[in-house]
Amino acid sequence: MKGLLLHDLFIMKKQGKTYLLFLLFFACMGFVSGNVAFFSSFLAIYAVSFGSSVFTYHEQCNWDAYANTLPLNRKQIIGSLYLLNGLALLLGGSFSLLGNLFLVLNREISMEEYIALTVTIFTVGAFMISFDLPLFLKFGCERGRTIMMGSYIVLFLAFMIAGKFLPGLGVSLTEEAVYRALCAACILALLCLCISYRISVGIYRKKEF
Amino acid sequence: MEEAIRLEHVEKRYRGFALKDVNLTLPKGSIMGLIGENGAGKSTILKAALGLIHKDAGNVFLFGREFDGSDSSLKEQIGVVMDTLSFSGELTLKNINRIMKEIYRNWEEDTFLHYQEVFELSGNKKVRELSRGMRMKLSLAAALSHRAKLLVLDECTSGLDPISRDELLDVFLDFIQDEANSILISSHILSDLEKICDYITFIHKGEVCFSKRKDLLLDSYGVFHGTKAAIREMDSAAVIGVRENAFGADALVLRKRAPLGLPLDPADIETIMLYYVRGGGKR
Repeated sequence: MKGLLLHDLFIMKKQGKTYLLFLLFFACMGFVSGNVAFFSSFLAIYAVSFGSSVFTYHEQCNWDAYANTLPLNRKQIIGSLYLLNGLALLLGGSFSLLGNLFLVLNREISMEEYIALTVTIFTVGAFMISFDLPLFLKFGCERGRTIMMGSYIVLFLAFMIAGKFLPGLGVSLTEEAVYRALCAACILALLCLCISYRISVGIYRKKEF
Repeated sequence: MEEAIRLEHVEKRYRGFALKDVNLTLPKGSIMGLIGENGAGKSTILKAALGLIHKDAGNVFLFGREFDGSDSSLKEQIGVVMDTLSFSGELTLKNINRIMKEIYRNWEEDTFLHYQEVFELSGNKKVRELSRGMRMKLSLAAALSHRAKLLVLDECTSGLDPISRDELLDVFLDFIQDEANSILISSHILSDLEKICDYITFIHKGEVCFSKRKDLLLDSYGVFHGTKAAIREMDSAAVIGVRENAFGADALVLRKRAPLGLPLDPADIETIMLYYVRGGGKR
């Protein structure tokens, strides 16, 4: 798997530099606009999209056909994709952690809120990886990206609508309820990653090159 | 006779095309050429042999062991060069060396660097800066640098200039000096195959028309130039295919069934293939 990871890191090196520049840009935007929380959270999500763009490079050079002639099994190939995306999330998440730490030091948010924000960022990132990777494996780069964007737009609208109607239904989110929901979401995200990996392996096993 | 690769009753069906009952055996220490027109099924056979596609029937054996594409220890012994370059344009040769070192247990950096020098490839150049010929040489260098016992080459000499092709053929002949090594190569450039192959397998519309020793194949057939009437008088079992022309007709004939003393021109692989495909060839 190390060889596969190296391969992906090498081919994404140029794009990685662009992504780092964007990460720095978003970080600066956060400080300048005074909306550090939003931009630092966005960094993690942006990093996940970096990880999934490796599919474009793979498709361009028909890498999957060649990779399957190497002494690797299909589980290893899928595992390396999850590892790459996990590392991308870690990188983006680290930038978020640093950004949000600034808010804690500035006493704009409490330590509890900082922890909750951190957990949310990594949980959302994990959900994204769980959803995106099987999609790209099943439908390919172009179609996968279209379905992914469409799904996120629908999800975003659903959350917006829920946010508007929930108070009207007498549902109020106490701090305790939020923390419990976060813990549950965290566990669910890890479960989703495992299920996503199994689904991806299943999809890849059936593929022909 | 030990085998490098054996396909037994391999079948694969697609919409509008099917590989039917493909049987072929490549003995160890030999080179087998796969020939056939575009869309005949050569690449499909190679992909079925490598486990890149799921067979509908049949078995593939590599070095005597059944192979479905998942056995890493068998894949360590295979070097593959595909018709399109498999390395991203963003990689350099140094990157490829590092990657392969982690993937292959038997990766030989010295051998890779040796071929890099022989093929005049710069270590720091990105793959996208290389010409098609140089990319093929790079793929071949990677295939030859992990003590592979079997090379599977899919149209790797297509699009190359005669000098590059000649260079690669020399490398293949060098590789086969070790009697444990074997090559399965598909190509449209029949003159190349005639130079280096021990066995020729001809695929037509998904079926194997013949799979024979090259020297036996070339000795078996001859071309008769004459009239349609003369050809009609011959034993039908002797006539493989007929092509009419303005002056009469030519026929590909099995020498052992042809009338004694019949004047026959030698037939090369291309001629044999043409008669099978365009001369209504019988198997």
